[in-house]
Amino acid sequence: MIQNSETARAINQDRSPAPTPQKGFYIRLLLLGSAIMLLSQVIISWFALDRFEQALIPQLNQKAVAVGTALGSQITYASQELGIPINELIGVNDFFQSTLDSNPDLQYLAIVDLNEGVLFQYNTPQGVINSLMGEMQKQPYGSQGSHFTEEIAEYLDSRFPIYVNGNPVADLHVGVSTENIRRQLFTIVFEIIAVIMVSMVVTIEILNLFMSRNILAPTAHIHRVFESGSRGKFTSRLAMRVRNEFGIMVSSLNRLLYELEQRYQDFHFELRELRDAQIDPRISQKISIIIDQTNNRFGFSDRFSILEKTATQIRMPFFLFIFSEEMSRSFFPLFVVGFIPPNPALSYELMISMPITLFMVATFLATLVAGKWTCRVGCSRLFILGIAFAFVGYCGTFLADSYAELILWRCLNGVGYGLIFNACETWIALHSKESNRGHGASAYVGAIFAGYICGPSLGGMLAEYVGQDTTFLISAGLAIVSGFAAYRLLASDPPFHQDLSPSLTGLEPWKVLFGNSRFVSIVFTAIATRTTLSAFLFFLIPLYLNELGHTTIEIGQMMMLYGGIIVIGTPGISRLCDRIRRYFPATVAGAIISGVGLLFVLTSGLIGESRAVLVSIVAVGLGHCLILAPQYAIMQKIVYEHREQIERSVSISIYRFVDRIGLIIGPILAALLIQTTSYTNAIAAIGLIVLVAMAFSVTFANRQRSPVKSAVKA
Amino acid sequence: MFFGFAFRTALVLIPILVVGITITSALSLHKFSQTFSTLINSGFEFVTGEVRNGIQAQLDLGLLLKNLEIAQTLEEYQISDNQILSIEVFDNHGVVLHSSDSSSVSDLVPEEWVNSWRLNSTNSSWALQERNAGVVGVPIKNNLGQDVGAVVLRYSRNLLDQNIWNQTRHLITVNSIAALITILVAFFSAMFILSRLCSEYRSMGKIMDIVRTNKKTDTEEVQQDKNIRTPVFHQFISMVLATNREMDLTIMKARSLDEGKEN
Repeated sequence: MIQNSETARAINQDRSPAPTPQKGFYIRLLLLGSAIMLLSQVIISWFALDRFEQALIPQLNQKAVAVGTALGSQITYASQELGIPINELIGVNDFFQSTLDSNPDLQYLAIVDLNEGVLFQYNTPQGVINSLMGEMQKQPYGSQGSHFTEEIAEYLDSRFPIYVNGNPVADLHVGVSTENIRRQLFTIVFEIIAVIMVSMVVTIEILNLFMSRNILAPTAHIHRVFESGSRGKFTSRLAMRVRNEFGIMVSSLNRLLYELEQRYQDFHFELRELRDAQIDPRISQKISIIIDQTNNRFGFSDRFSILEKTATQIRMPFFLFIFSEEMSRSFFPLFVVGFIPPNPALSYELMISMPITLFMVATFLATLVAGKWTCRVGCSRLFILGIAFAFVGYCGTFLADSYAELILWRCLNGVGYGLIFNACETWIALHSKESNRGHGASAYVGAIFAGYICGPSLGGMLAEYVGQDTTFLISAGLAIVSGFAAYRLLASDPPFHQDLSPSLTGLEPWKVLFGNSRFVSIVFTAIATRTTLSAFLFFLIPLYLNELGHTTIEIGQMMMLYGGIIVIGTPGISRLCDRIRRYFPATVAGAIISGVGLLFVLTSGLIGESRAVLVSIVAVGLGHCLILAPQYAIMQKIVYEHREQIERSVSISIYRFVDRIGLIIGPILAALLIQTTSYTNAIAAIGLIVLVAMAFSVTFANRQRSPVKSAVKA
Repeated sequence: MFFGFAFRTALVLIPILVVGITITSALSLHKFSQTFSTLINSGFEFVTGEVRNGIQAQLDLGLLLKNLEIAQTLEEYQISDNQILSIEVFDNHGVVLHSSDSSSVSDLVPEEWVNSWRLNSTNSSWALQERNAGVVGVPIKNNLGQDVGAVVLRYSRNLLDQNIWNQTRHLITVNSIAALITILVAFFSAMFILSRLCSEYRSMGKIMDIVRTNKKTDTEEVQQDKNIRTPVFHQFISMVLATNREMDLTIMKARSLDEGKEN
């Protein structure tokens, strides 16, 4: 039997799904799922809104009747009891104005007399005035105490006859616009759009997982088996037991390869028999040559290869965890406000920032120990351990009664967050190759930002409907689902060991990494990016938008934009960077866009505060879209370069450790800034910090390049 | 039991669609209830505002809140609308001073009302939802601008609950139909999209079985299957057949050498 383990290993080496015709089906299925989800939601919402409008109009009219009756009796009192003729009443228009101001759902008020026409009116459209006169001519006054409603243009007009001493003198008209109801109901459209987006992201994630596990990864593997087979290397079979067309095809393939191998063994046996039985050495040698030729020509093996884990397999559990964590993002600073004691130890702003900062500190410390733990227990177990911490943290936050308790539970959440991030990054580093590092990074970054899309928007809605504290309980449930997904998808991932024992321990890895100018350069960009995230998006946005009068739903929707841009942009950017191998320029461009975008908030006087914030969120999203995947790819490259000196998980921990500094300083920096200046100036200051950090990053990157250039010249 | 690949994939779409539709429906219904409740409150806010204006006009004349004679006015307002359960005026200690229902005078109002009144003293009105009734309140200020109490109107939730129930029934019916149609469309579309892939897998399996059982199969015969659009599969099969042929030829050659027919 011929064992060609090298070839078998080569089959499994490139683990990224190869482009196969099945990818077309996958894309079509994704499009189908998304299109059907979109269409069904739009149709259902349209039906619901139309029906709601029909049900709400009579209620709106009810209000018009209440107002009309009250105003009518006041006017009657003035004319009848005080003896002022109705056309000589003073200040009626002002009275109407104040009534409409305090009842914005009413459109107009008018008093119309049969002979003199419109006596008093406020906010009545000209077209309606003409119609009122026409109606008056057709149908003079109704009976005393009655009223009737009719549709005039797009308004519902309620008419109340005013009687003085038993004689009709005028009609009071109260108009309501159905547009008001439509406007009120229209706010739900944004919520439905958010739900559609969340549903679509979840659909895509689930289909992604299903298709990668059931089609893309196995067919990519089968393709590699076919490819090596077409070169005469029948070295691998596929261990797969599925009762469907694919499983049946795999069984046929395995049977074919098995029989081919059996035949080859018989063939070889016969050749050896002929050679051994031959007494003529010349002929025996010729048969030996034939044996060698066939050995070189064909490769056989009876080994079954199993589908190896891919970098993208962690995407689903990680996405679910980020989803659960991001649920509280849109309201967390507002949630903290409720726990601040009457006489806080620190300033009010710092008290709001503390739970966020300490969460980051806990994450930071967890990252420190996570590197070693990952080696010891493996990524999957570390992930599940992180989920356990997060679950306890969420439940604790739900039950928290005091500020101290809130901080304690959030710190537990932070520990879980740190462990899970480390587990994910190590998983991707272990399961990515030089050729597909950007692809692996985009799976990681994509999962984070898919979570950023779903979390804040859905969390904002849930907070509004079921309460902020209950939302943490829902997060706990999602965390459990994430843990279960990790258990199913990543299980049997053993503790790993490096092939080469890295020689550096203690502070040595730090020295080596910080001796690399590219690492220092990327650290500057990473810290600035993280500071922007925690200071601007996590802290200032909820507080500032809340101050501007936006609900948690609206805040969540605005924050969702950031995630949306990242999810759409990151895969394209990462693929482009993988192709052109220009990671650093992309990070510089991204830093400039996000820095300038933050400064854009200073234009709020010109375009409005909410719009300026929205532009800043979009700019930061675009900027981070350019930074994140390339930055991660650069980091992975540096880790790979130093793999013989430093364990990969240790390098990742160091990078994460430094990177977390940005997350920690962000909320404190933002709190200190808003203590001394306005929200807009605080946001602009963060923009400036990003630009300065980018300048440092470029300087360090050039320091690395200069010696290379001199070496080339030499 | 055999479930085809297309069937399994199509099945995945169903729970996603159902969850999506359920969330949208729940959200729509919540918004309806919110809008309806806002509209009802808005109507009653006007009524309580009218009562409050009357009270404040008397307070401006120097009368004390507890000394006002407004019980009849409150009763008239209550009688004018059968949705109104009661109208009460309470002071800053939460004691009912005047009410459309005289038996509740001197009672203490629920603590929640007092808290809402205090929290919303700068707002024009506040609203609460109790289990059986909706509550709308407006603060009363004296001529010095001090908060001295509030007018609270309780209205029956029947209308609101009835409307919500009607909408829920309607939404359940419409959305169930829509969900069913959507699911069927999604299911059959997914089956259709994947049917080609499945038939390709089936054809591949069939060809491999033919090649396995009949090793002398002509290449042309197995290459003609139109279902297979994977070129590498054809190359693989060609190589398998070539390997079979080569083994036959090689063994014949070796036998010839052995028998001395060939040198």
